[in-house]
Amino acid sequence: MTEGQEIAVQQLYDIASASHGSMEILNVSESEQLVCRVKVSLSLYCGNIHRKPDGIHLRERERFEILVFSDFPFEVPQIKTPHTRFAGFPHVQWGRSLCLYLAPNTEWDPNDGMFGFMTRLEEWLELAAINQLDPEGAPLHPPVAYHTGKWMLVIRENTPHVHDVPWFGTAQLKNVSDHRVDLVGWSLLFDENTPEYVGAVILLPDPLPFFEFPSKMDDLFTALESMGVSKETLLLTFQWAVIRNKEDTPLYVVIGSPMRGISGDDKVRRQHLTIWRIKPIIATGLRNSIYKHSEHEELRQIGEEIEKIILDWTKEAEIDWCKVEEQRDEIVTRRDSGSPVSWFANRTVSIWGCGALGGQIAEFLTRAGTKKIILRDNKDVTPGILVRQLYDDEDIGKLKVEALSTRLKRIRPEMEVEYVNENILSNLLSSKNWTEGAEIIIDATASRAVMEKVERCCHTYDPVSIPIASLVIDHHAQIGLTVLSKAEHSGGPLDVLRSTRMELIGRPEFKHFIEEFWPDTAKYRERIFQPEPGCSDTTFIGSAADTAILAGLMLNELAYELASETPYSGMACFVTQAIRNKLSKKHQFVRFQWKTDRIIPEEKYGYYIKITESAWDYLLTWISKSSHRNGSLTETGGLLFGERDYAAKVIWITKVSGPPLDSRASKYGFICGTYGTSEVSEKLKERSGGAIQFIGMWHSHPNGQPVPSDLDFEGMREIVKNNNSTPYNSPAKALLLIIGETVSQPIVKGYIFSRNEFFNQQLIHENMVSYDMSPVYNPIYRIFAKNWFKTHSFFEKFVSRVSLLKKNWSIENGEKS
Amino acid sequence: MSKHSSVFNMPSRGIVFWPVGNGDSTTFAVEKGVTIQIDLNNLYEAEDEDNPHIPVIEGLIEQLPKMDGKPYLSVFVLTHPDQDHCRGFAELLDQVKIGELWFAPRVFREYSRDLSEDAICFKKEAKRRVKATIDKNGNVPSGDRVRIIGYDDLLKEEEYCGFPLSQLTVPGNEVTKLDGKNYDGIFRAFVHAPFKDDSAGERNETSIALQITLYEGQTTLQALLFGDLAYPTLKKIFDLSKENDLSWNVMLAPHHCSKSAMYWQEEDEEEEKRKDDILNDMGNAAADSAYIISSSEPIPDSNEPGDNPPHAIARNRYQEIVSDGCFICTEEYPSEDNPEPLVFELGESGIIVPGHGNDRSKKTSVTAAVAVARGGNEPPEKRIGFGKKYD
Repeated sequence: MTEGQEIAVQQLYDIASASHGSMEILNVSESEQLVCRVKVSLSLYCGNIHRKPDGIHLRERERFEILVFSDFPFEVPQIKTPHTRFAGFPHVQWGRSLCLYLAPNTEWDPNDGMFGFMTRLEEWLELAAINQLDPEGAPLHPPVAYHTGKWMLVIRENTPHVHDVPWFGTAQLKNVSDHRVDLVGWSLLFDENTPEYVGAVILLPDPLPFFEFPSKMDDLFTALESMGVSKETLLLTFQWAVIRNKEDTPLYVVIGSPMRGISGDDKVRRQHLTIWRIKPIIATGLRNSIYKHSEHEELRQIGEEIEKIILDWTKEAEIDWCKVEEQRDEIVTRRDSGSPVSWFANRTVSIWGCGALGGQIAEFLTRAGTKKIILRDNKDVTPGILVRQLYDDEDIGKLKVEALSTRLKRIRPEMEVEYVNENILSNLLSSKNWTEGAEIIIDATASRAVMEKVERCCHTYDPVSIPIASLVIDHHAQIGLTVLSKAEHSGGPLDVLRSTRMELIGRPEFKHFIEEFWPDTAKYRERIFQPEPGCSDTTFIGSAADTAILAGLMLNELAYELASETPYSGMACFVTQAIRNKLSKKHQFVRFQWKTDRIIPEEKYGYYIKITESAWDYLLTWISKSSHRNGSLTETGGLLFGERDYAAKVIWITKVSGPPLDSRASKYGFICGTYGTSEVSEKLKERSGGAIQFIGMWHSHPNGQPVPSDLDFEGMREIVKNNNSTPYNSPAKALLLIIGETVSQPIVKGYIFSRNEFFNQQLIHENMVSYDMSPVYNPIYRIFAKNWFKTHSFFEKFVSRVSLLKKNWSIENGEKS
Repeated sequence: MSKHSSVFNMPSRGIVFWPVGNGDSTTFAVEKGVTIQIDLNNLYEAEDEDNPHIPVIEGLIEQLPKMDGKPYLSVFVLTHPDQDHCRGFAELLDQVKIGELWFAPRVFREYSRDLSEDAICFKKEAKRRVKATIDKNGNVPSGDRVRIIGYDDLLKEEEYCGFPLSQLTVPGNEVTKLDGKNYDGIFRAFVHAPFKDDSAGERNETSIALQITLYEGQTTLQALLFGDLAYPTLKKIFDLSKENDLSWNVMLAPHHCSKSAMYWQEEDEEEEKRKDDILNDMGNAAADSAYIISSSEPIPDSNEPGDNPPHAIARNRYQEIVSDGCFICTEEYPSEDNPEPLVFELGESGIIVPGHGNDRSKKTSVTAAVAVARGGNEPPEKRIGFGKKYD
């Protein structure tokens, strides 16, 4: 006996002596053949266990045999009954073995040894006695067939529905390896469309009368006969299957009966499938036995003799059960069920960039059950990337997309993978069909250019109807940033990224994120990392573990956002490896969400002008203020601050100022002053790291159309005019926003004025179109605005005024309609 | 009226096990007016109000029919003349008219120790009846009848020479006659023991062993009574007998639930060992509804070596054979403080069995035992002293 076994036996004696006779140890014996196990026979008083008629029939005392293995307590002991009275009950195998633990790895506590084991036994008996071993919703332990482990079948297709009579037919098979066959479809007996290579199938309408499958073929035939399946029908089914197969192939016989419980439903019983393999030689015999139906006398005799031989053989033959692995979705609950990534199941995903992040994400999605993955990358596998990218040594020199595709196909052969070795910018993003039928695009290229061009595509082509995500990590692979623009968002990832930056600006707690993702040039230069100096792209420093953890976190955040129903269309999320960074816990995971901005399309150049809700509110505040102070017909105006992105053709209006103190306003015009404007502009620019700059002007036409007057043209001309005589550097392009009809319902229009057009070309403005704007008040933006404008004392004062103004408008609208 | 017997009525057909401590007293009601008593252990202290035993003679007399103004018992069977199987026989004989006596003469002959007064009384009465039977060639009235359980060679002896064969039952045969009347179809006793070659055995091993069957249409109530037999003879019975002669609904645990029924030391063995074969035999012969009765004092949780029966380990083994609640100790039914006669009745609707007897709630659960064995983690309850000298 090993030390462990001695401890086990001692623990059992300790329990027995404390049990007042309830537990009696009958024998402790070391197996003669198997030195590694000690058998303890014991008798347990069960009279105090509550029982129900349909429960296991416990006698007042029950005997058990516990097998303690040499590596106790690390190895879980086994328990058996000396009788087979419990056979047929759930969790009783081989007629005598009790399955006390569903998941020994987690449920077995070595430290508690036999104490925990015996407590578990009593719990098991208590549940068995009231027939609750399979509590509602838990899966059933189906009958067992003891396989040799030599052959394996994976069931991939749900079984056909079996009504009141047995179902005879064939199962379509697919050889995967020498030892594995996949079952991929079903056909009825004598179905003309039965494919080549099939197994014979008998699906029963009623449960088999045993919990263990017989090992002798004759016993199985007898059992099947009692279920109304005659030997003749069985043979016929076998023969039908055999003639579809090639010579010298084994015949797989599938037997199903409704004995499979499924998780979550205690009443439904699915077909439990067992499969046995008939050797090629017998299969050949079965093929030849068909001659018994021949018209030719001699052939008929041969056929009959062969059939007789086969029938004789079945009397003695042992059944070669195969290992059956279930992948039927009617039975198997996915191990990732309910996890965020299940959003991706059965979807088509386009992944741009097959590097450290893209590769990881592609593999995660493959395992998550994605229907199709489109891979885009234009690089080869190099030796250096094996450090953290999912490629093998033998992939070196291959196209990344090709190597990754092979890898994904190995994981899930049935998944569709399409790959393109192309430059995304010059090819894909120059095409109208840039979304390629994907249901989501995940951009893992970490390319600013790609992001810019996507932004352009979002506005240039038909409205984008799919979400686009962009994933980037910092230079040390410590922080990941996921941005997502849903289909209805007013921009792509670039737009969301800018919103993120706006959110972080001026908040010291997020300084770290700003420094990592929007570094100033000097800092950026410091950080440049070229693994092979001089001839390789710059990249980040980080291990496979770093990228895997970040990719996982980022993908989860993305999936979570996609799956949740929120009123927000843009999302950004920072995830952090919590180990090494110095961020406080609160700031390791930060998530921002936005609704869509107001969009003012600009027809002439095709710009998208986006004004944040807060800026819009602020602008209306000024109009209201002016109307209150100077009369509703007096014009007012001010400056616009934000960012212009020429590449993406987007103008973001982030901040609006009212008329500077030295402005003048009347019914006929508005002269915008300059007092303090350069200081404000400078301050905003500095604080935002250049993300908020002067971009143009706005003014109101209270009682008129938002069309630029001659005076307006003149004004804009002045703005873009390059005056070489002063150090002032004028903008080459400037935006003019005119808000017309402010008295009734404001209409806003945007115009871009370019120096070139004023001074080199004729300005054409006939085709300018106006856009109605219905104001929507949104508290989120109010808070947003509050943060932004807290330096301006007048903001608070006028918030109420804005509300009132809006109310008036909506009343007027109501009356009008 | 005696103190306990009022709580029950003798069934018209059935079996009564009396709570008489460690001893046997079993009554078979065959039909109205026909009663068999197998063994007797009438404890006189049982008449005390506080004593948990029932004075069986008093109880029996209350239930027996009257014949010629005297309570009438059709048959009295003595399995063997141990005190705890015949205690009170003299009184019974005095107060009750016993139609017929069944006994095995050899038991007396092989009995080496002193007989109790009751045993002597029984022996005397048996001899009287044997003589009367021989004298009248079997034509004796009720009250003088005797049935000998034994083998043919007995009749060669002087004392039994001329004893009519009709009153001799050789083990391995059945009896359907009771006190001169045949009850075929209602009653059957199959005699399993004593065996012929058990002459060298101890007295216990020459006990009469019976299977008694009561019939009610197609339904039967079958009882196995093994007296004080131990493993070797029991095993022999199960090995040699036909299935039909072994089946049982009720089995009286041999020798008041002695472990000797299933724990035995063979000659070539150093210690006694559990004999699962006899347990399996008993289990296999059991009917669907099967009860094992221990006619004994309450059975302790465990015994010390050398303890007399009842033995806890024997009880444990029997509890592994029958369904939950179907092992009943006469002195625990329905409670230890207030035992009552244990009745199995065979009626038209089948066998009416007693309810749960033993109080089960007191039993320690495994979980509770585990908690004790595992030990707690509380600091000591009392002050603990340490040091070189501690007063």
